[in-house]
Amino acid sequence: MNGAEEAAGKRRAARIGGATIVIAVLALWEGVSAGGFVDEQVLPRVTVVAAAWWELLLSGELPAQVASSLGRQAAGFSIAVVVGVVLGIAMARYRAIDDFAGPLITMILPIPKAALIPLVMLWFGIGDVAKTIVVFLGTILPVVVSAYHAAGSVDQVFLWSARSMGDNEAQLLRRVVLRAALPEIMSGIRMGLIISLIVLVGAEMLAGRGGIGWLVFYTLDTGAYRVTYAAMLTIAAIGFAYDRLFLAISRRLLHWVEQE
Amino acid sequence: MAASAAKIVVRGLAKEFADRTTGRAVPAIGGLDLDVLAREFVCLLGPSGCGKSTLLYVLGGFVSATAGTVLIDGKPVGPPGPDRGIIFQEYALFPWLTVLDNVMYGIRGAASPAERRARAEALIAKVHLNGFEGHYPRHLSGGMKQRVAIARTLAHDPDILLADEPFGALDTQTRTLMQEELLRIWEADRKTILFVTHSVEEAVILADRVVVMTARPGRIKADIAVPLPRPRDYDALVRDPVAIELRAELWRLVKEEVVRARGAG
Ligand SMILES: Nc1ncnc2c1ncn2[C@@H]1O[C@H](COP(=O)(O)OP(=O)(O)OP(=O)(O)O)[C@@H](O)[C@H]1O
Ligand SMILES: [Mg+2]
Repeated sequence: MNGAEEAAGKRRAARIGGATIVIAVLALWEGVSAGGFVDEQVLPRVTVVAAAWWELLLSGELPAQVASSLGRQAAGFSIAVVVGVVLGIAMARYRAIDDFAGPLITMILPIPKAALIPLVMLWFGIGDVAKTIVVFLGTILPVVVSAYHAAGSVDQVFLWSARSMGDNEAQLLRRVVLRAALPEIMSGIRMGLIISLIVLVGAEMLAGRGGIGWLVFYTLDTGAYRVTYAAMLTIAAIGFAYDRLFLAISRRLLHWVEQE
Repeated sequence: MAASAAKIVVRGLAKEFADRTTGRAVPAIGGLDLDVLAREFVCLLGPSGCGKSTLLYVLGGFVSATAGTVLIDGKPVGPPGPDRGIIFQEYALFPWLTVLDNVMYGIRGAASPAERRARAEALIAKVHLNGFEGHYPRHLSGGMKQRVAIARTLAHDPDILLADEPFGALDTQTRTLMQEELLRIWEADRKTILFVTHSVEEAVILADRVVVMTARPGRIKADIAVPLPRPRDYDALVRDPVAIELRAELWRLVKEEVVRARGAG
């Protein structure tokens, strides 16, 4: 067996292990609940939750709430990625922009992103705009910081080579700075993606109607716990699917990077 | 002083850097005069830290001089541009581009994409890398990377080639091979070359003239013609009495400055 095969074999084993753990946890859950160790109201059986989930799916309620959540998430997230990358690179390359935007970003950076939610609600109300802004703010900070750092540490010989081959500033930014900074920017975006989901669900729980976070909170209030669990599992599944999708895109874009 | 006809004219060049911790001005180059004729191959020798790279960077337009004049074709040196090609010791290939795209990077102008591609392919063949067009730099050996770097620089057809220890990181055999290839390319299309090296042997094999710099702040210590016929024959040069004499002389000059640099540091 050669090294590559061995590595692939190990990875396969790890994946099977990971899936086994998930199944074991679900089985334990089922057992605990069915065995009467806890109040079945508080922890409904997995099979009951699955049935509730299926019902929710067929009724169109779940797809509608998920769509409403993902719409806000997609809008806030994509705007934040574009603005964040442009702003981060501009700050790294132009002193004036750094001096202008730097202090504000440094100030906002250490604030827990969830603490921004009430403030945004205060200023922008409880509608879609406010929630999109919350997602935007949660996403943009890690993106700006990674783009700023990455664009500021592009190897000088790359910049000089491009210049000596005739690149002007715009070509240099697009063909060298952005490309060289991309691996680090992608990890910033991944962080932003995770935060965007967290703050979105948080904002939906706090205020307004609609969205998967609202569904969790609302059913908690009305006592339909099986739906609460179904909605929470849906959130987990969305997060997992997003991360996988992101990794696939990232691997395509960064195929030139040394990967183990 | 009458206007010199040289391709590159450097007069009284000085460069100071601000020390990162104290902020005090540290002289890297101190009053350097140098002429390089068109189509001349000049090698630059000198102890580490004497300002060889800095001189190349000033000529390339990447770094500005503190004092003195630098003329290229009689005009003050401008910002970096395709008239001057630069090759770095660490290759500087774009890792996100294939060999072909790296070589195509600097080819521009009115040429159609097909023409640009054909040109790049011809250059890749010239440095013996046919079949590696689609490879990424991380899959190439050091010697192959440096070949791509040479092809990439030749692609924009510079008048002047600035090379900063391009073969310094290569093993001896690869290095000899690369020297032969560079000479072959240069003998077919003579560009003005300023080539920094640490190796006395390399300087004697390649250069028309060898310029030795003093320890920092760098000035010209010696300027020695290499009276060896071209095309140069490698194996003959090992035993050639003129070459042997020259190597000994250059080594003595460099050593003096290495010792001085050590004393100062
Ligand atoms: N950006 C910089 N800031 C401060 N000092 C610098 C800078 N670049 C170079 N120096 C200093 O200037 C001097 C000359 O540096 P340079 O790199 O030109 O030397 P070199 O002759 O190329 O050395 P080597 O043979 O080791 O490559 C050194 O003392 C170096 O520390
Ligand atoms: Mg150097």
